[in-house]
Amino acid sequence: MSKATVVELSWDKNAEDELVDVVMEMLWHVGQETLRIAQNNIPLETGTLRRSGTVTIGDLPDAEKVFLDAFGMPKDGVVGKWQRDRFKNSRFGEATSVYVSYSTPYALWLHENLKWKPRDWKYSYHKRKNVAQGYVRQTKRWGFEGMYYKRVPKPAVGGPKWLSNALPIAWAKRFQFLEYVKQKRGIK
Amino acid sequence: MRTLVKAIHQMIADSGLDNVFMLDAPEMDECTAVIPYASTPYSDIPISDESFQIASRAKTYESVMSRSWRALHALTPDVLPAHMRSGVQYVLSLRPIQTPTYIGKDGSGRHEAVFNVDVTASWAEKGRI
Repeated sequence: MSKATVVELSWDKNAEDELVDVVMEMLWHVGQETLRIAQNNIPLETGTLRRSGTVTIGDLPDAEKVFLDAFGMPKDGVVGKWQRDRFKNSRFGEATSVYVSYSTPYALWLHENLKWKPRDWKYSYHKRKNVAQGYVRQTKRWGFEGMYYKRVPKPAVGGPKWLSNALPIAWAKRFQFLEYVKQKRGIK
Repeated sequence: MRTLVKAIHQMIADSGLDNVFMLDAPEMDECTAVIPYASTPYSDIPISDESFQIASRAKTYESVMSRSWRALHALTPDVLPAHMRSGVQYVLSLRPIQTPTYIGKDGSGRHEAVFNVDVTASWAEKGRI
């Protein structure tokens, strides 16, 4: 007597239709988590760089617009706005990619230059020459060149590679975000 | 024991590029440095993703980009050299994650360009993985 094995397949049509959207939403959450983890390691002077962090789907955002909105209008007392959630429901193209980006002219240098230390970058050689209130003094014995500045410098923290360091930690949480997105959409 | 940073340094130096250093570069006008900056171990097997930055410096924009591209070509061979495919720290893959990127001038007015590579490698004997 032969035995028949019956396999019942149940295919969730909703999942089939939403598969790409679910994954993209999961990646969007991974991107947001990357921004959150990176936050305290991002160099801080005025906060523009921290505010300019975005997560976008399909393509990069308009860097100039993001920078100007994150910068604000300090002369008029307008504080820059956080760009983190600005593109939450936007799609910039058909590409199935999620981009995490920071849009300031100096973001690339700060992220990729492994040599700078907090507070140093504000007083680079070129800046020292142009700081009206500051002056440079060298001690004869050690040849040390120090920057003496009349006002107290703002706290400068952080270091390079804040995105590269945060991404693996956020990526490790991808399955948690996947479960969250599936629950939210009612997919088993 | 040969380390990954030494192995990558050797790959670039063997291509004929001069003044290649590890960890940091001295105050020279034309040089390239291999700098490790991150390590992400796998949780269950003795393998990790190691990240290195290849930083080049030169007097002109053209020469720094040329140096950086030569280093990139040296790190993208058809087959990885034998010294990276044997013993401890067996290299499974070596992937540049971008093309050379110009990041501007340093404090002394020299041009700088960088790119990063991810290396997946083991830290156990090959037969024990």
